[in-house]
Amino acid sequence: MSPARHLLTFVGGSYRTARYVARHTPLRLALFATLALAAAWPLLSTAAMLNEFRDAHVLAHYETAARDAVLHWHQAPLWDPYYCGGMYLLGTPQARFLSPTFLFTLFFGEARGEALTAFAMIIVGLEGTFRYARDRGTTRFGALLAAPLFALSGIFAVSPALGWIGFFGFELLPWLALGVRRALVGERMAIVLTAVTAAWCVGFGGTYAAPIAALWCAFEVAEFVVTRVRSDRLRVLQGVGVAAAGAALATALAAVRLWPIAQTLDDAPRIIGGTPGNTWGILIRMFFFPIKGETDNGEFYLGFWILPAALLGLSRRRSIGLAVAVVLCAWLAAGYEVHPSLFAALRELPLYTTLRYPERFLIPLGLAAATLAGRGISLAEAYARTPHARVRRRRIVTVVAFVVASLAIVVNVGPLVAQHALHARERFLTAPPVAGEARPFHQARGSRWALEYYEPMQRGSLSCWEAYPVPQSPLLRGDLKTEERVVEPGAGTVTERSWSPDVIDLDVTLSRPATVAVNQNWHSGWRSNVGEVKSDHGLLTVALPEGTHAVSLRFEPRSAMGGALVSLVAAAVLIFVAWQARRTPRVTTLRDGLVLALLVLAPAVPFVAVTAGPPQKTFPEPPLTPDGRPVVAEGLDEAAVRIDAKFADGVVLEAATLSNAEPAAGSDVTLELDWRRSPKADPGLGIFVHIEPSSGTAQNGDHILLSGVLAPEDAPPDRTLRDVIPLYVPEDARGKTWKVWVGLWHVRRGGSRVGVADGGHTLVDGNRVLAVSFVPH
Amino acid sequence: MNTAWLPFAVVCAVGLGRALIAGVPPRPPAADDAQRREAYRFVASDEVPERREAAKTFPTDLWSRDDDFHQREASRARDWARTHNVPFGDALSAIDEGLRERWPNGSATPPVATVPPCRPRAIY
Repeated sequence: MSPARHLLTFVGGSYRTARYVARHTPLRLALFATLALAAAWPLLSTAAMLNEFRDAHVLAHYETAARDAVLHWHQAPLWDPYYCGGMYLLGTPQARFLSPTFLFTLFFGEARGEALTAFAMIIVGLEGTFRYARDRGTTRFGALLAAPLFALSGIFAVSPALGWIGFFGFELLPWLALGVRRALVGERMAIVLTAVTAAWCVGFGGTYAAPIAALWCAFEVAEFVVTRVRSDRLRVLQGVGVAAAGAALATALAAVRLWPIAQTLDDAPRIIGGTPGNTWGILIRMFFFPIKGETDNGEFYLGFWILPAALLGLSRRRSIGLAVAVVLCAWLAAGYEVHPSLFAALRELPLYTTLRYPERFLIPLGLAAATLAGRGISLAEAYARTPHARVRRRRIVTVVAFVVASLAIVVNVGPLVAQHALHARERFLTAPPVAGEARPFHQARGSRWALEYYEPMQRGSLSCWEAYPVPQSPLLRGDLKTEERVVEPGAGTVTERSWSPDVIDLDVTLSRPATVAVNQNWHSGWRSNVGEVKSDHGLLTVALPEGTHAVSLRFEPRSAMGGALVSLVAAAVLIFVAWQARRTPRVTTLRDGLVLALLVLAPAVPFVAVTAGPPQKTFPEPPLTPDGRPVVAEGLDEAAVRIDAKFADGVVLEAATLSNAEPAAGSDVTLELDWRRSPKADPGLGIFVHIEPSSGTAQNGDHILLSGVLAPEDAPPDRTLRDVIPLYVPEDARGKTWKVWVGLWHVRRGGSRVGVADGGHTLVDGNRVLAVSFVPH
Repeated sequence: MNTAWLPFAVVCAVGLGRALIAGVPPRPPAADDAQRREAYRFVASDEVPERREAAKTFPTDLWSRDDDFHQREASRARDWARTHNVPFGDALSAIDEGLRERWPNGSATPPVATVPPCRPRAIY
């Protein structure tokens, strides 16, 4: 037998084996598990180690704190006293513990749980992509080849190295999309699939995965409507209704997480500015090029090898939907680099204003491209398998195309798996800290750069970073001998009887009414059996009457209790829907639709019951400048230096005042800008501050929030708004003339500067005004 | 059990087993009291210049300054722990204890015991 014949026999045998494996679920899953094992092997081999990357510390900490709450304190993971002076753990968007993978953490610890989560989620993603591709009309063989393209793509190699385990929520994207597609054709079980995967995605801390997955689902619905509306409007209406039921139950099932997150973001909105963008060259390198050093190359790697199959896939008419998805994702991924910017338009939507990195739309693009490739393989496979006796040349061409496209994808599995090892090797790993002997909890000044070290030593880290401004009291201290004190001197004593994250028991003896302060942040979820829980500049305090009290402080936020109730009812509804699906798989009749509508409404009952209760007590405190004055004032201070510069958007810079007109080099001063806005001022304005010396490097003080706490659009009109900016005068500033130029820009809407209509009493230069100038001595 | 699922179960078991038997390098011996005090003194004595450096990097942002300082502090504590062959966690614990117990820090300025509230930068 000739070598060519041997090769053909081998290729043919491999093809038949692959088809056999793809057809049999246990074998297919074994193959996928093997691929996942190969990709996750470096993570599994170092599973006991601590990833020292800064983000990994914080994200792993949430998981550790949740585990500790359950196993050590036997409490629900509601409050995290170990970070930022205390925060709402269940309402922290980036925490991932409300997901089935938390079981790994519970049983094996956070570090090993992280590696096992990556391993499991890759298997989930592989099978999900296979099933989604199949539903998109791909053959089993095509779907088998498409699965690794998405589920092993670059983002899943990069994420564990940075500790961003939440990005594995994207492995649920094909499952969610599949659920919506099946729901659109009326399948009852698809409602369950949609709801469960969406709730999992939300619970997994998908700050990007869940919103982007929601967009993908909306796209699936739009595609369904556009392609079917002419042929059968009733079916379309029915399908959209079933999909809407899935979406509603998904929201309800995720309520235990969504409600607390909504409360957190309502209390402390995350404001993102800037106009991020990526050139096509950068996007191509991220998507097609292998990883390279410190560059962005390969961050979302699928590889050039995908191109033959994907291009073949594009030649099918039924691939138009996927082609549109590719175009939309690429357009979004380019961010503000292209005009008009779809990403900018998306950021106008409430849920999407906080998206910062447009390139992350390359992840769903990966799913669309992988599915397209699967379709391309399927097309070539169909031609190659169809006897074209009369067109022998055409058959040879299709066979060659099929073999080349398939082999290219098979070859690509090597680089796909290898990149996981490459990123895993980049990690800085150390032996994790071990818990010391039991001792009382204290807040420490701490360090978020080494956060994972603090909880095992029963210390909280006041040093805090999060993607949103965690409500954090400036009164917290990291050097106290006792964590509770009576605020009024000589009014009495307080002793800690027992301490746990969600419950603090105190013995208090007071000779007169007084306040007990706890060295943690206040939250509206704290309750006390005696007295009244209050906030003192964000610090947790209890106002108590005279006498001896056994005070029990408990953290019982309504959003957690209400969310849990809604989720429980939704889970019961979904179990009923699954039971119904076994008897009648599809929603076909009007009666089916009405019953489904009633079921969907069931979770609304506990929601209404909980929200109709008495409102939670809040202690709105006026936003304060860093030096403790109200940001909103009736008028200017006497010492203010008037400017009265008018900007085109109806904003006036009334005054600009330096705390020390002749500062010393190497000293700290503050610059106060006093603004006044008209009722019609544009939302999304930012303030740019250019601090320019007569020679040397200029400094930048661009910001969005006035005094770091109040967005201009949230400030009342026609009042003086104090914007106090700290300013460090460097040592080498001596003798130079420093000019501070100030202006406004559309920081969240295109980035253009706001024109200066009238410079008032100062100089104007390029749509900015001279606020102050000084010569340090 | 359906034997068809055996290959899948075996691969999953290998993954689970690999994670469970993964070990850690031997930990350095715990720091004694003298070493802890020395660690605190070494790290805290540099607080003022480190905060000044952080202020140069972020002249108009209090939270960023403090955050930058904490990175420098953690790095200094890590260096000390490595050169003295003690666990990094012990160096961090010493900083906490020194701050709480007012250990001498080799500087005229006491370390700061508070932090500015978290204000992540909205613009990068």
